[in-house]
Amino acid sequence: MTDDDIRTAVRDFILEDALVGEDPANLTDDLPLRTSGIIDSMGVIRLTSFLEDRFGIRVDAHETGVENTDTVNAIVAFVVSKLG
Amino acid sequence: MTAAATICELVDASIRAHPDRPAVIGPDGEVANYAELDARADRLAAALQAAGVRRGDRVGVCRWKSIDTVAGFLAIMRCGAAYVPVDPASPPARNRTIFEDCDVRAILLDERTASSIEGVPDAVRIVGLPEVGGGGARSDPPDADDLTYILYTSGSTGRPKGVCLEHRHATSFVDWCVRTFACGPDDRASSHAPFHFDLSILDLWMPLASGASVALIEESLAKDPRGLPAFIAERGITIWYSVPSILSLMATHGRLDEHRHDTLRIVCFAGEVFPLPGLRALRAAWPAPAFWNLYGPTETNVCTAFRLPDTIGVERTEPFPIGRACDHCEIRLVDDAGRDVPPGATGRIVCRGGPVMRTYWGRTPDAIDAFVEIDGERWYDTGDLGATDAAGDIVFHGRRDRMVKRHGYRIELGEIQAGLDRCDGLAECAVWATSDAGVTVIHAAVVPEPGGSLSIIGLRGHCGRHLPPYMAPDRFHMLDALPRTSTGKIDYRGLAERAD
Repeated sequence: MTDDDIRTAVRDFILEDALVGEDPANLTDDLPLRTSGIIDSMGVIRLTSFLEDRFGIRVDAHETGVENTDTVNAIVAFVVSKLG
Repeated sequence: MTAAATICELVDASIRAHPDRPAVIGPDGEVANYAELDARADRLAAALQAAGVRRGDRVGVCRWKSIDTVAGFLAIMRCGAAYVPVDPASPPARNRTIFEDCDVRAILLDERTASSIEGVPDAVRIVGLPEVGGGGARSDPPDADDLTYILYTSGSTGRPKGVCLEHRHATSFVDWCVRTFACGPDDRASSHAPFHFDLSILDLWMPLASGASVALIEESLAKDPRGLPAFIAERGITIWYSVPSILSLMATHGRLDEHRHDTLRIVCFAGEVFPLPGLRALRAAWPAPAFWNLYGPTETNVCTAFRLPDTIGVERTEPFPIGRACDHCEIRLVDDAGRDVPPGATGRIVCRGGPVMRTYWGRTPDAIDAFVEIDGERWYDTGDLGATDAAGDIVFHGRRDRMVKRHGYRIELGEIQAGLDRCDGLAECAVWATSDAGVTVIHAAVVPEPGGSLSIIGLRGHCGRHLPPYMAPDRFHMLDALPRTSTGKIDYRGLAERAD
């Protein structure tokens, strides 16, 4: 699986879960998702479950902070580090 | 626990009886025993008195959870004033509206919130815990008729309204809690709900009235179903109280089998219906503790209770009842004319007695529509509907109005609409709620101004600035125009069908 595959899957999930109806072009890779309120605390739980199911990784409680989940770039980097 | 007139008298009795026992465990694990809690409260009370706070005043509290925040509540009560807690995560403008509405004399802040409240007239700001001071702060203590706290809830017109509870109401409720859950010095209660939420009254004052301890849960951990099971084990929690939604998430995402929770003896939940799949999973993971479903709006705190059976059979398909009236209040189910409905029929849930609020701040009781006269007595109409089942327990049948519950918070859809209406580029909007397997989903249909550049991302950012986090809609629907009925009203049925 390439980084681009991961990026596409993450973007599709966010557009489907939190940004239904939004123009996909507006979801840039560095758009703040947590600190802007696009993904709330419940959204993080759904995102975490999605990442675990889709990529077969285990995400622990201390790993769901803003540093790993605030942007598409951060989420992709986190998944890549887990898979590595 | 002996009969006491005020919450601070109850806590003072614990301080005298158990000075060396743990009272409050901070989010970071710091432990304050009763003597330490007493000393901190005295220092803050001295600072409040120096700031001019007197019996009958209101004091705002915009602080994150900490030992000093609890000491602050105690200090405010010792001055005879009412504490007014707000959500530090809410937009500062909303909190400022609340503080202005009830004309607070002073505001307690912490280092993180010190910059967020500005422009409150005639209010002294006290940041953190004063270095020195204390003593002589109980010259004019409250009695049963003085206000303990004012909790602001969502208002249908967009303005929050302040629920005023006196010490007589609060002690009536706390006394019921201590007796019902046999809370004693060996107990350790959790404080999961934020302090501006009425669940915190049980969390704080039940243990502190009975010589037990309370373990505060930091706000971000409180939303983390993976972190909370470790917290419960590490702190040795014996009594848990929260909204069902986080318990449901713990059951499904919390890996409960990786932790030992054998100290837990009571699990209470309130604030919303607990969907059966999550409840069944939680019961399977936690077979030993007693499970209690508690019910009551902020205006009464808890007024009915139901103890669940030890096992939940696969044949059960309906949520559990909310139970029967607690012994400190009366409950009736009545029709629109105030007559009792027959067993099994749906009626309005009305309540009177020990825990029912005095009024909303700034309103006389006579001006409050929810106070109704039945058989010559004043009753509080909860706005909820219910019916008794064959066993005589009340089953919740939903609301009569446009108020919804999400994560235990009551939300007037009109307040969300009022918040969205201020968004640049928005021509009009409509807000409604649906239920997805028992979970409330809030929708907003939005119509951009012609030529405007409204985006979902922009709307989410607007909500972050103008609405508390729990009020942000889950789903936005961008439309060219709102559907209307033949009489010109917004067609909510059409909107709901379009959203499916």
